[in-house]
Amino acid sequence: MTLRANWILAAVALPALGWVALSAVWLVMAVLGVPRGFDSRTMTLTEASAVASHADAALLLRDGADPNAASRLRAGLVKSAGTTMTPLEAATGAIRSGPVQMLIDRGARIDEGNFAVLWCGATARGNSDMLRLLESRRPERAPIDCTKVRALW
Amino acid sequence: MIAWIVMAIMAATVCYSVLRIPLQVTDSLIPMLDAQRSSSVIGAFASGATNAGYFRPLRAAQIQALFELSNGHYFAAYKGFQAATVLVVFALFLAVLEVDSRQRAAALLFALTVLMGLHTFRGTVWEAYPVNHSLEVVAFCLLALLLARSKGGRWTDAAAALTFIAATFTVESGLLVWVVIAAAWLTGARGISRRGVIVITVLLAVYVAMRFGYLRTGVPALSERSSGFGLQQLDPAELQRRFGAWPYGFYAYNVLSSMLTVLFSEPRAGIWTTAAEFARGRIAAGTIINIVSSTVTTAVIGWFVVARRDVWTRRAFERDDQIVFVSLAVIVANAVISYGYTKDEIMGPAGVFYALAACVGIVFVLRTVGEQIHRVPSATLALVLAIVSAGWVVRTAGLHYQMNMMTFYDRNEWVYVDDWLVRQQSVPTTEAGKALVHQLREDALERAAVNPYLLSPRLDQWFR
Repeated sequence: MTLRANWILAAVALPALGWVALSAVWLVMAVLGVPRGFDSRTMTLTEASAVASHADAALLLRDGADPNAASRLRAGLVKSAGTTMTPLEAATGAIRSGPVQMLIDRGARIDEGNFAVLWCGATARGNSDMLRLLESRRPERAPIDCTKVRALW
Repeated sequence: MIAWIVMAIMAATVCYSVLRIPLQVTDSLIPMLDAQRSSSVIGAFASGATNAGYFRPLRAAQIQALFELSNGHYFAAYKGFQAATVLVVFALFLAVLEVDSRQRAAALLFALTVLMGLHTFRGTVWEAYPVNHSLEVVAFCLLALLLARSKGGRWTDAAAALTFIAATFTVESGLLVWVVIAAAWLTGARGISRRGVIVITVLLAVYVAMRFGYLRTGVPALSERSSGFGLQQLDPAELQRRFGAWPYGFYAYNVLSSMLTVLFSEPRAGIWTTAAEFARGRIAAGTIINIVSSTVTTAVIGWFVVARRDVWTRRAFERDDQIVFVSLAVIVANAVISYGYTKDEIMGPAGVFYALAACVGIVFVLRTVGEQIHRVPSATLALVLAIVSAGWVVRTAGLHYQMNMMTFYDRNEWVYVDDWLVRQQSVPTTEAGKALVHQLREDALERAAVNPYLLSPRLDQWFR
């Protein structure tokens, strides 16, 4: 083969060959269970709510997770930095139609203590599903000044 | 040997992704509940032969047989069978290509990424119904081509006839096996003898007469399912309203769309995504990668066909001519039998044969350049091919990303399976039925899954 033909052959084969090598590494890592960080079973209830993982939320609730407790929310899901918030706050901030109804069915509270934070968060995010839900559960009719409410992010 | 190792690694990644997806609620659960109620494999076979609109006795029999053999390990039985089918498809793909040179080895690498990266393969490989008949038809078609190009003999004829029967009794697209055999015969492939081809053609006539005449299973109606048209998805009522009086224009659109989607990755399931995305303000990077990689690959195949037109006219077909001719026949035939509606996955066999043709096209380019027949600027050609090859690698990665998405969605569906069964009016009434649903639900929820939102929200733009 000429040098020119070798160049063309390399151009065709190398990207795919790189993928094959990557695939081999991936398979070995999968067998070893690495990396664990992407496994949805490592999530908290707050994180499961943020990424609309109904399955993981259901599992965590079944295993006794508190739907009102603030827990870890890793970076990038709602805020650029890691933080702590409740599952309802995470679902509001993530703008995904997450397992909100499931959380409420399992005891998540929407009351005077968190309504304003959720309402202002949903308004800022344009989370219309959450706004509709909150409207039906508004504890008082007093106007809310979002400039004086704790921001979710 | 290296080709087999490469193939095995690629196939293993697909199997890995397939095995992470739970048996889905839609399409899998009700057939499994039916299997639980059915008395025998023969009963399921008979039932599958008489369903209105469909003639799929072997599919029903397979679901029943695996259910009975599973001994309660349903996921292992059905998904194990699906993974085995994936391995068979990859092995047959490699066997058809006969990798015996450096050029063919390089082209095989390229073709494997085309096979896995093409969007039609995604729909073909991921779903379990709970037996993946789409993938089975691909295997049957590849086997038919292998038999047609073999040394032949009485047993080859018998195997070809059995392949045709198995394919057509599994799902309607099994008719493509006949197309493969007939097209291969036209190119001078004599592995299946003249008598064998005649017998299979008679079997085709019997199938048509039995389905439309004796069993009167007919064809799926326009009002049965949604389909893409133009820039949007039309529901059955809208399809009926627009095309009910004269559906032939809609059918022609579907046939053309199905062909174009394999050759150019547009439209997708009948919808012109580039125009639709442009109307929304932004064309995704993944859409551009899909169109560019497919268009250049189709151009390479086209280059081969144009260069070999004299050979084809003289009907002096060689090995690679046969592969491309049969592939083009399968693409056209697959589109024609998909006239009723458009869906990426029903073009699965065409997509796999497109990958075969792509391999031949690349071998042709490598040889042509090596022999310096054409004065093509090598640096430009190398750059274009490297970009296209990288594009197919991105699409191959996209296959796994999309299968992870399916894992995510399917797990979520199991949370609300009871509500779904109510809507389908299929709530199990027996304790055994309820126990089956409970077991499958627990199995799906407990299964490990990579949450796609934990990776990066931007990946969706790249993997279309």
